[in-house]
Amino acid sequence: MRRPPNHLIPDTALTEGVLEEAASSFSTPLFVFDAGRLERDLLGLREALPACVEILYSVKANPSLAVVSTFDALGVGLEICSLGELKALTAVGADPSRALFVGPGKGDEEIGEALDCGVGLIAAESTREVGKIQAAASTRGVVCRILLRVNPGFGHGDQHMGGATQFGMDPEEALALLKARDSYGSIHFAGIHGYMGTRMMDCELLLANFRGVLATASLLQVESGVNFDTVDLGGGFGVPLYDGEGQIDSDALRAGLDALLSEYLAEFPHPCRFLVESGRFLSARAGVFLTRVIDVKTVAKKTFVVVDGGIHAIGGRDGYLGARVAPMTVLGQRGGDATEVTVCGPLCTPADRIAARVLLPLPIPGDIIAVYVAGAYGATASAGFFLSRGFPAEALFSGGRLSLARRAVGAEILIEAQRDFVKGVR
Amino acid sequence: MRSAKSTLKELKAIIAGLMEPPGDPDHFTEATGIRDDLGFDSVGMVDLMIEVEGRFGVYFDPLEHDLTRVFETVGSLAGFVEKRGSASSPKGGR
Repeated sequence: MRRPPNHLIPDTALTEGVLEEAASSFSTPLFVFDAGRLERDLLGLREALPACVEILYSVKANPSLAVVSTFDALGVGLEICSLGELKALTAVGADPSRALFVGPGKGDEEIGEALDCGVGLIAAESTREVGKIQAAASTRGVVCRILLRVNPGFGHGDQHMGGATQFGMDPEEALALLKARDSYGSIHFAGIHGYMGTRMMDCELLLANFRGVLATASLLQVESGVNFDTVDLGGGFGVPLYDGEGQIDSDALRAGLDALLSEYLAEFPHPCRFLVESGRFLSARAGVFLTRVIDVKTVAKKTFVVVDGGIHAIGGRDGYLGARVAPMTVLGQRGGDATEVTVCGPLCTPADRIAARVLLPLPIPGDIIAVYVAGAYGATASAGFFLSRGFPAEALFSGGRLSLARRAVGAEILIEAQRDFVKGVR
Repeated sequence: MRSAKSTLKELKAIIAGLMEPPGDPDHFTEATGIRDDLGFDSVGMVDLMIEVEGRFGVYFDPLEHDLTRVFETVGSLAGFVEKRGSASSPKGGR
């Protein structure tokens, strides 16, 4: 008998009353974000890192302008990896010179736009890409600062991005580029970028990754004679979501990274910026997902609770077909008798399961189920338009007030994009 | 502490119970393919995973364990459970 790990429900201003108000004021399914919690988690990450380390917010985790603008206002630079994320950056008026542009498949248009906007740093993932950046920068008469994304062949954590993956380049290729730097007149090789894993709660894994990036930085500087002014250590700071998962030990992380940086700076005493990136750690706990119960039924002796927000709304965060259960409650029934149910979305696929065989107070149609730690990789990573459903609305709770941050985006925009075809058919 | 024999017996009963209609565990051997012979689909496999985790106190981590291999046959699953027992736990912080 599995209970949701509700001891992992974060402390936020999103009380049941606030959540109920949000569900009735706006449409469900719905994401609600607590601005205060966003700020708190930023401070939490700052405390877990040496003071000299700069934090970048990874827009990919939650591109809601409400979240992006909150971090921008708190002085955090943005890590972007698409034209769409660049547009989010400019939409909130963030300073592009403080942004980092990452990603293994940057198109010519994206690179051009990034340079036109004045994006401060691009993490180049291959020699070919460096060539594209050189051409685009040269045309514009600018010098582009880049980091070489290096993949040193190792990684830890979920979906590790070291080893044989599409990310970054071999250290040897990076060295060749550094040695040939004079032939790239419109590029300043500022340093390197390494990102080796995600969802790491074990600070020994995080430190092993950071150690690896610093070792690569050392080697490349010694072999090439270049002095790096920027090293991006990556990130992957995890947040407990499922039963049995724990928090990162902040003190151990800060002490460990302090030691690594001291050692590095003893060898390379010139001024250097150290960057880390975080999306999940900064945004996950501030978000709650609300979904309304549409039907409750028993089939072959199993009870199913069908809700309006399934994997099209929150499935991006892989819960292994409902085997992994996030903290969740039925609003208005925190206590009460629990029944073993499988919570399913409305999609016509048996894979649409939010939680399989979990003990919950038995809801009735109209009740709201709240899923916590939902602020990262929620709607944005889900198949929003599957079954032409659309993306859920999003609300922000800030200064004691709820406001609609983004209305639901329905499939009508897909219909609109096919207007010319429809005209032709008619 | 379960014996290998009782683990296998209990596992067979769990697998049989999850089938629609329920299977006959006496007809399962260690070589019986959970997907290939018994027709478990991905949703069924997940239900089996949940049941086995709950009953035996094991934890399946798709990054650490090759789950396709683990869930291939009744025998491979029993072997995993015997080796892991209550020793495994999900990743955590310190």
